[in-house]
Parts: sequence; structure tokens; C-alpha cells
Amino acid sequence: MAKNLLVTRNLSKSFGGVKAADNINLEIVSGELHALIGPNGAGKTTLISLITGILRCDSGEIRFDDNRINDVSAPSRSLMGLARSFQVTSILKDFTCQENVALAIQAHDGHSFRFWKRVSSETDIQDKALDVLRSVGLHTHSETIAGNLAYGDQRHLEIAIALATKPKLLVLDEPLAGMGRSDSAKILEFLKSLKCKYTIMLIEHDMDAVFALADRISVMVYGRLIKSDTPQNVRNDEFVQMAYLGHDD
Amino acid sequence: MFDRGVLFTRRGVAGILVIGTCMLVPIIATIIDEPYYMNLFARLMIWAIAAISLNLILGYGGLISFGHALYLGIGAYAVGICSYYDINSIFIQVPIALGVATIISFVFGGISLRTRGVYFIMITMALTQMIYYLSISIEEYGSDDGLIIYVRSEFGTNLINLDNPFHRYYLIFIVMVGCLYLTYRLIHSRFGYVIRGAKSNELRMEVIGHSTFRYRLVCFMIAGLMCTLAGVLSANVEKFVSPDMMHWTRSGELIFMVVLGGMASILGPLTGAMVFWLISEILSRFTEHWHIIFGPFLILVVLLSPRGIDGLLSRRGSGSG
Repeated sequence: MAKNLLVTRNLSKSFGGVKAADNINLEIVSGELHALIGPNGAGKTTLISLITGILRCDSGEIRFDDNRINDVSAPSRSLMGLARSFQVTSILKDFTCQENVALAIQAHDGHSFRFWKRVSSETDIQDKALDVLRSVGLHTHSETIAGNLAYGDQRHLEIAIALATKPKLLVLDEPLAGMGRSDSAKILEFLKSLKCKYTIMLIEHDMDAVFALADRISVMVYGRLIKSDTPQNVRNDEFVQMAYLGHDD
Repeated sequence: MFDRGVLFTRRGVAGILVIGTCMLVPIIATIIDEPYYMNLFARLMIWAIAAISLNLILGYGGLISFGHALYLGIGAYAVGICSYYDINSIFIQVPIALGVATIISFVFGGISLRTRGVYFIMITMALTQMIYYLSISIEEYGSDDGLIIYVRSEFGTNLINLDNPFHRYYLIFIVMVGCLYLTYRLIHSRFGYVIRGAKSNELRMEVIGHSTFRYRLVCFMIAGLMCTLAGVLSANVEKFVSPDMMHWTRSGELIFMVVLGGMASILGPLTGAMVFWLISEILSRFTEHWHIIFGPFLILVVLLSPRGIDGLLSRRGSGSG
């Protein structure tokens, strides 16, 4: 039987009077691509911020890889194998692409209280960083300052940084946001290539992309998870259509 | 070691000029029989060491510490109070100074680094003012009149005798160059990358697995210790310590030196300290109210060249070297 990599139980988070996450029970099966959809403001980003440790939940429980991680800090969750990309590109803009990736590898290679040796002369880290850049097709830009990259390439780089941490679960927050058609197609292709290698949790508004990629889809509306099922069943669910998919037509 | 190519850039030439000047000042001062300049440059280099240390947290770490002069005070008072009790060996004074600075920077850093932005500025300033008022209130050590040091630190050998102005000068020079080299090594190490990365995008660093707090705390402590050495040297130049060294306006001057020279550049604090001193020296000869001219000048520099003198010297984007 397939194993649940991530489980949330009655997970709740409120901002003032707004329940951004309301008793969320989510299960992400190891090896699957699990899409999270829902209208704007449904609490999708809040949910993944709870999962990745950027926000702390008010109540409930998060289990990752059989460990309760409620009280685990974001950096420690990363070391456990949780990686995430952001809706608004979050990279180190004044570092080169290679440095961006190398820093992620460094984080997972013991502590960084090493004060003397140049990182640039640590061939182990640099070789690995180049490998990761190659895998996303950015190796020709290894010396480019990340902030100077084209927008689509910055999105690629952000995923590369996440991959460099060798995640068990890759959480991607709208990787196609703000992309032109050709860039979207490129990222989509790339996501397909990742699909079998990583367990992925994907937030995306592009329904074509979601239904093409996902093994399972969860639907969030007003902080609630109203459905979590196969793409086929989600598509045919009346309630989901009314709450969300219907607006597309 | 250094990349050879670095030496031939405008930045490199400026660096060699500045360090070369510091190295030659005693010789020139002796030839033209103006020992005043030797003392001036000795002081200047002490300020530079303090600014170099502040640059670690301010320039590379992006944390505006408004209380850095505290460590000048700790270093200087360690010498002053030791000598008050007839303990003059530098091999006792320096460990005491560094020991106290370690504890204080650990506690103060641990408190202040939990805040960000304006709150960090305010809390570093408040904590330093706390020690400032403490030093004023202790009458045994001179309160706000300060403490005169009758005997300079002793190395216990004639090879280094701090009563000899040349020995004193070159000890300061060596410490300063050592601090510059240490900065250079630090910022290119794994540790330095974490510090600089956290300045660039803290959230990103946390999400890829770096617990930035502890690295920042250690960086804060290294900066504090480096600045404490400047305090020890200062006590030996002035033969006098007073709470004024720790006043928040001193911390502000240090920030100006770093900003003027160029944040996150290795030599920036040194050139910044030099230009800061030269301009204030020149202006104060014309008018007593030289701050009125100096203030707007500093604002102009920040507006016209946000990366300070270093920004004028180099056109490269990242400012890491």
C-alpha cells in the first residue's frame, strides 16, 4: 500500500476573524503529484506555509514522514526533506545562479560554521550545484547574477534551488504564475519530468496544467478542504463545480 | 589567497594606496618632523578597525547595529580597569576584554537579533546606552570624568614596547590588516555566504535549511570581539578611557564611516574612516559649527552614491569582493 508522506489532522489557522485554514485534513501519498486548487483567498498559500513551517498552526497536527512536525522550525523541516517555491519568486537576487544553488546544497551538508575555506574552491559543492543547474537547463547562466535573469529563468532557478535540497516533498506555489505561453509550456514540460522522481504538492490556477499533471486533486474554498480525490472524480463533483470550476466556463 | 587580478582594478589600486599610506605615515612624519600625523593616523586606524568590524554585521549582514561603539568601550575599560589594579600585562588584559565582550555580545546579540529593522536599531542602541549609563555611575572608575591610564599595556619584552610610538603604530597597523584579511576570508567562506545570503533574502535562506539566527549571532559576536581589540588599542593610544567612547553618537559615526566607504566592501570602512576624519578635520578648522556642513555632505554622498566611495571605484554589481 502506498504510504502517506504528509498528513494534516484538523489543521487550523486564523488571522484575526478570518479562518484561513479550517480543520484541514490532507493526505499526500508518497510518489504522487497532488494538486491544490481553489479560488483566490481560499487559503492555499496559508496551508503550504503551515506545512513548510513559515507559519505556525493554531491547532491540529502536521505529520511528515511519520514525524509530528508542528514544533519543527522551517530550516529543520527543510533538512527533513520539505522544499518549497514561492508564488512571488524568492531567490537571492544579488548572487549568481550557481551561488544560489550552492547555498542550498551547503545547507544540507552539515553546519556552516566554517570560517576560512573559500566556498568557491569547494569543488564538491560547486560540482553538485552545476549538476542541478544543468538538470534545469540553466548551466549556461551559472555565473549570471540571479536578479538579471529573465523572469521565466528565475522561476526555473527557484525550482532548481528547491531540488538542490534533495526534497522528499516538493511544494510548488503557482510555478506558472505570471508566465507567458512559451515559458509556461517549458515549465510544464519540466514539471512532467519531475513527476515520477519526487512527491509534489502543486498549487496552480491553470486548470489544464492541473488536470494534465495531477494524480490527485484537493479543492479548497474559504479555508476548507471540500474535496480530495482523483482528477476524474473532482471534475465530476457537483459541489466542486459549483464552488470553483464552474466559474471557468 | 587574493586573486592577482584584483590588484589591478581601480579598487585594488585605491586599496594599495590607502594601506600603503598607513604603512608609510610614521616614516614620512619622522622625515618632516610632524609626529602629530602619526598619532592622527594611529587613531584613524583604530576607528577603521571598529568600522571594519561593524561592516561585518552592517555591510555583509544587513543589520543596522546602532550600539557598536559599546565594544570600543569594553576594550578600553578592560585596559583601564586592569591598569587601575596594576595589572598591566596585555596577556591578561586582552583575554579579560575578549571574555567580557564575548559574554555581552552573546547576550545582547541574543536579545537584539530576535528583532528586525527599526526595532533592531532601537534595541542595540538602548542596550549600549544601558552600559554607557552604567559606566557613568561607577565612581570608582571615574564615572563621567573617565579613567586615566598611567601605564600602557605591557608585552613583557622590549621587542614590543607600546610606549614607543613606532611600536604602537605598527601594532595597530598589523591588527588592522589582520582584520581586513579576516573579513576577506570570512565573507568567502561558508559562514560568510550564509550571512550575506540572509541579508539578501532571509526567508529563502530559512526555507532551504539555514537557521540564520545562530549564524547572525556568531557574526555579531565576531564583530564585537574585533571592535573590542580596537578599544584595547585606543586605551593605549589615548592613555585615557571615558564613557563618551560608548555614547550612541559614536556608534552613529561608525555607521557613517561604513556607509561613506561603501557597505559590504572589504576596504570600504578603512577609506570611509579616513575620509570621515579628513573632512571633519578640515571643516573644523574653518568653523566651530562644522557639523552643519558635514551632515548635508553625508546625506549627499548617500544619495549620489549609495554604495559609498567603493561604489565610485567599481562598477561591478554585486559588491562582494
